[in-house]
Amino acid sequence: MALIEIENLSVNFSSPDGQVQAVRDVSLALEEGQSLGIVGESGSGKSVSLMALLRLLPEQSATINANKLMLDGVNMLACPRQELAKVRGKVASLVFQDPMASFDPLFKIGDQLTETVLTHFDVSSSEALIRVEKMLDRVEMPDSKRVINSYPHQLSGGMLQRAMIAMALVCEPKVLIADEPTTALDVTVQAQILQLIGDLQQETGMGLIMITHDLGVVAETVDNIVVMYGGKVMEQTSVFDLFDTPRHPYSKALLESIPGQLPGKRKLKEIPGQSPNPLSPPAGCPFHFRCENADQSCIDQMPPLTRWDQTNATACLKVAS
Amino acid sequence: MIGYVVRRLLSISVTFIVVSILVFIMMHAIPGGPFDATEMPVSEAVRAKIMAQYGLDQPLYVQYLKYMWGVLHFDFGVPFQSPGETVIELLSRAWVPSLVLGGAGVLIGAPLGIALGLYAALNRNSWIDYLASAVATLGLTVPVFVTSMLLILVFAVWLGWLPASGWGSPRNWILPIVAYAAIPLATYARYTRSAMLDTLNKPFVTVLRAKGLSERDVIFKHVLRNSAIPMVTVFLPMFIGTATGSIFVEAMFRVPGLGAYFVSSIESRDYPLEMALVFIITLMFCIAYFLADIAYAMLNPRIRLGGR
Amino acid sequence: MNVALELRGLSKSFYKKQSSAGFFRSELVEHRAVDNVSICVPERKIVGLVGESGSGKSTVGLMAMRLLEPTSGDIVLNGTDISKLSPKELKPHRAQMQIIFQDSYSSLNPMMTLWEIVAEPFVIHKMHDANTRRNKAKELLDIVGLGAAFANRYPHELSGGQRQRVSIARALALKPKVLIADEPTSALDVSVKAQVINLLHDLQEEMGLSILFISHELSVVRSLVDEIVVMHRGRVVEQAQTEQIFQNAQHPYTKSLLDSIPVLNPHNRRRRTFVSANELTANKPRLPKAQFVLANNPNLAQVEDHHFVDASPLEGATS
Repeated sequence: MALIEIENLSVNFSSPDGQVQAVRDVSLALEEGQSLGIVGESGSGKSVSLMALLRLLPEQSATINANKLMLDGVNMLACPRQELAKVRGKVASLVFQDPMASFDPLFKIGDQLTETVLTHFDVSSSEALIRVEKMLDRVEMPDSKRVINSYPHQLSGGMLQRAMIAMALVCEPKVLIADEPTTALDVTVQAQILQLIGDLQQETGMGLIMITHDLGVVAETVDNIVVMYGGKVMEQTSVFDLFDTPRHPYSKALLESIPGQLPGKRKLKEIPGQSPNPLSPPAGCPFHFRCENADQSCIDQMPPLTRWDQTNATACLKVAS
Repeated sequence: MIGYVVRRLLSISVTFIVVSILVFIMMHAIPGGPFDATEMPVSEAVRAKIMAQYGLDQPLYVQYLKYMWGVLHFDFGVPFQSPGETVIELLSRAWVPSLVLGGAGVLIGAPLGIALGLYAALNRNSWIDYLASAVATLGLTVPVFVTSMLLILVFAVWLGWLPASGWGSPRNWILPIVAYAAIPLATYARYTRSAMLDTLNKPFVTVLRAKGLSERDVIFKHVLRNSAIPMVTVFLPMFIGTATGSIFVEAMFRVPGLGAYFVSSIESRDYPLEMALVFIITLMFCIAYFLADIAYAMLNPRIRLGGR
Repeated sequence: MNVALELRGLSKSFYKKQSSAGFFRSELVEHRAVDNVSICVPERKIVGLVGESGSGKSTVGLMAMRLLEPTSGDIVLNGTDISKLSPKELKPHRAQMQIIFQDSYSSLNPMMTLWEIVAEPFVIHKMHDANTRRNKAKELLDIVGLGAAFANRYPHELSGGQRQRVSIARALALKPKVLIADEPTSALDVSVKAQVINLLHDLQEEMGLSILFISHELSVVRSLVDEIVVMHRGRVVEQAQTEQIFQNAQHPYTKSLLDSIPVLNPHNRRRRTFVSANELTANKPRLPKAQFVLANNPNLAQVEDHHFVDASPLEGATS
């Protein structure tokens, strides 16, 4: 049984300007212990898909539709509130982009971590504190005694993100969902945090979903990849195939446009145009405006996700033919 | 912290001196005086004697210094409109109805307003939310004397359930307290709602939910406490702001409180009483802001402990 | 080679109150955000200024524009020292140097149409009549790849990349010689990042601009700039031509920046060893003998042509 099964997920947000179609017919799955990178730009629907899985989207404005939304055997679509709370943080944990904004500014880091333990385990607070201390050591937190007694504003971004990871893992979840965990950090700290997440995944055997806009991040951390664009899945593949033989024109263009790969002053290969408007997404392939290979058929119909083998699938008419 | 308190106390003293000078000058700059011919038809010689008795014939700065010297000894003089007692005696008498009216109004209005704002924020776009917005908008835009008149019209004139004015029995208290409670209710509902919504939209609230905290703990342990910080800074001074607002309510319902005397002291050029009331209001505002700042610092570790 | 912009020994100190001194006394503690930084932007060249948060790189950019007063040091723009000029004397020179920022949204007035935003510098400098202003603004929008059709739109209708194009158009309105670009691509999506970098590349060639490009990422500047200056904790630790930095970095901090760039090849995953920030500052490279030491910054030693590094010379080295 897969740990995460999402089938035909669509998410709409009501806004003053109309329905924002953030996620359109997305399917993805994660087996226990696997690592998956979800790559996409802002507005691609990559974060919203996973927030929908954990039912963390605002209920007033977000409409979720799916054939299947399963997390560790629990049907998240029909899950009552109390059951949701049991799954969150225990089966699946989240780490977000901005560590400074992720902690309650009024509570000490130690209190916020023990609170997480006490939410899911029936232990005394001193027992919870011991678990927190152990976890802080495992994330290689320097000076962890001081960190426990510090308020968020007293720590650096890198230390807070370590604490955040410790908080996410302190209840030993089956999967860690990291949503742009290094984007707000300095480059040197970024590399340290990525390595830490990779190490912890190896040690604990947990599943990992790395949501990012940065192909460099997935190249360093995960096995499988889902590339999203305009609320849709463009390509599913392994990390090796993505970098060795990218199939989808969007994946190819993304890889080629990354600056700094080659020496010498030169123009970069750029992707012309802009991302599609989520208020009125095109009926056809969302990438057709910007695609070199697009023709009338790409404008008329959304290419289905064609599966090549166990790991590879592509949503492109030009690749399929 | 102690240094901070001392600095604040010093600045409050300066505020007092500046306010007293400004009010003293303005009070005397308005044409006319308490013992003008229109007020008191007596002979010039008698008027001169009265003026000398109250020291009003001396240069303004001498009057001011003499007055302040008295204030330092808790001597606020004798009210012109009631020469049989001192200002302090008059105020300690008038204080009681104002305290009852203001205290009851705030104690009823504030909790109701906070509860309404909380409920509205937690149930956005529900009918309670719309009701709260309507109440807040009405309460903030309709002047208190209009609400007072409406209340008198409905409950005293049409229904005849309650007396229209006076302060004799607790039955007299109900209408002015209700009229007065509408102000804190509306303002507190509005501020509570917006402070709560601000906090609910912060990323850390999503993190709290994501780690499996029950919605009750998210709201009562974290969101409320974070929302309280902007709330105290607004609420404490507003407490006093609404207290001065009772001037109109007291006038409308003929309540013999501080507000009523504030109006009459200005009308009859009762300098000592006017000064004393200005001092009281200034003092209340200073204390409220002082307490708000302290509360803010206590609640917010970033201020309490300083930056990294 | 002519110099478009030269920063000589720029320093900036901020003073922070330290209340731990006692209840009534509070001590001012000096924090040197920028410490004796000298950068030279030659005409028609692009210089990359690279460093992490807290390195002082943005402070340098603001001081070069005189949007922030340096504590000491000179700013020489096209041969004129503008660091001591009064605001009135500075105005004609302002037109020669423009700046664009990372956050294009908050730097564009939401109430103005795009052509009004781009034409605003003409209004400030009292140039042209209304018609000419509008036409010139449309031309500029065209140059940055937006097209005159955008002239009557508002900033909120645009994507991040398009907004950054508008701020570039506005910066170019007065035909400046020097452009300071402070992280112009950091807030942009990956697929439009290359567009904006290419636009700057083209504009530099077509308009003969000299650009100081401030960034926290070495990889972003690699294909664009002629020379790289690396800053760490307010100081220049290394400066050299672009490929010298990539092929032959000397300072441990530059090396750690290079090492942090993700490897875009999953076959080459490797474990990294990290050194703490304090070790980076302590372990300056020790050169046997500095051949040539820059007159305005005695800490920088030359290791090869155009390549300078912050080094503590070994005992007995002459300077």
